[in-house]
Amino acid sequence: MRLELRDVFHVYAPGTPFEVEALRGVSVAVEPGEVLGIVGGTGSGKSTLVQHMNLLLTPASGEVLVDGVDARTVERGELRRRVGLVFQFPEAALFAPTVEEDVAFAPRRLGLDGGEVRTRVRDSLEALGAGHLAGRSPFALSGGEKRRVAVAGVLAMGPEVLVLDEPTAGLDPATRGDLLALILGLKAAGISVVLVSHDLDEVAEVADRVCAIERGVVRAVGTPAEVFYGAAEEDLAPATVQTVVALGEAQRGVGRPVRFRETLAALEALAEG
Amino acid sequence: MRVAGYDPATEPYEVRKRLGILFQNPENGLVAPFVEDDVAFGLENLGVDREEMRARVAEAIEAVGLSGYERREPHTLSGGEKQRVALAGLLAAGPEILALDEPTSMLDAAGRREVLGRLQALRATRTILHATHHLEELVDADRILVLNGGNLVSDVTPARLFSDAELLRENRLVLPTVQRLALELGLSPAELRTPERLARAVLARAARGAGAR
Repeated sequence: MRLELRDVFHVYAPGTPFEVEALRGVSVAVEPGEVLGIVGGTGSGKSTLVQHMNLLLTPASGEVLVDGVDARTVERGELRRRVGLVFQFPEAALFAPTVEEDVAFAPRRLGLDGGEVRTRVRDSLEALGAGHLAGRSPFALSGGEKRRVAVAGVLAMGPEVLVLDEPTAGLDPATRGDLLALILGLKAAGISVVLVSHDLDEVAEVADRVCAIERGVVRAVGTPAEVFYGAAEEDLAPATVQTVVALGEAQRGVGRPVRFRETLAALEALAEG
Repeated sequence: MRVAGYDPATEPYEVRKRLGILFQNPENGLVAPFVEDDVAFGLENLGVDREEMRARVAEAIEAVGLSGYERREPHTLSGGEKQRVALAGLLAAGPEILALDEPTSMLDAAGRREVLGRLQALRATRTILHATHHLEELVDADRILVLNGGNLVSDVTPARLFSDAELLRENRLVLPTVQRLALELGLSPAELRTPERLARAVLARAARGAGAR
């Protein structure tokens, strides 16, 4: 599925003294099967932006297009299924007595039969490395386990685009690594992923393209190398890119690596002449 | 267990006056309709007088970079802004001991530096317990306690932890990117804290290599 935001504006509390213009003419597309990273400072509009992708928020003006069709004409439940949105700290919404029932909630609401629901619950929990937690109470799990279960709950709807808002915030490195591996696995299965993150190092590892936003405006969209090397002066670059830029003159012989492995290889080649 | 000499089981209020906790998910700590009320909440409960409360609230809001947000409603803020509000509430109450659970998890690079700088300044007068998975935030800590499966596994300096590959691996800890690059390049991860220092070390090695040839 191709998802496109065209010239989207969003205003919180319009007409009140607390009015905030959170998005000011944002245009960006999520191409089929890509991982799109969304980066930007605190309060830049990242979460507001992604909540337009399934019309959880509606634009004050501008359009959201699903395969070229106005998203408002798509039945709302259908849209929410096709574009799965995982909120910040999604574990806050866990509610059922067991993990299995929690993950089954959304697919059951889709009207799927019992066998299909069970299959989806099992597959989603497996994908998150949480199959062994099925019978447990979500409230007795660790933070990382809860996060896995909450993501599985959205995955069980069978989305074509999975939107993750700060999915690794506060997570241990092992769970973080598993989530990044899941993102690449979903991409391999043809599912598009939108990754909102403050952690530029993780965006650098998995994104095909990066969209940088600042105060509600898109500042740059492009490959990770284009966006991160273009913004290295202003803090908007992962540690790999910052290191390469800090080489100064010598950077010319190194190229523009972004991922850890590429950067390591480039630095090794330089150090060994 | 004793906190500043008090038993939390029998004297919880004495303990809470002296030890403030910042929760991992900032949403869990926000209670009031406006940012300034939220920041003042802890002080109100301590019975601080009005003038002093005003001053401390204003100071705390400024310290976390949220001046101008006083009359914003917390639910309209971004994740990172909420985290700053929660931290401001804790700073305003000014407990002797601050226990922070992933205090920068929702902040961008600039926000993280600001908050860490603020905590650094507080070290002169306060005790700070900083729980995090981001080891780069602990490079200046006095001590790092490594926990695993509910047990205290190690009590070490940052320099020691960063160069102990086995201790890191056994506890599933991952070094920051710069230190990982340094380690893989055979350089000292404990000394090369920033991209600039790492770049200089790589260039120095390249120059030595060229000189030897």
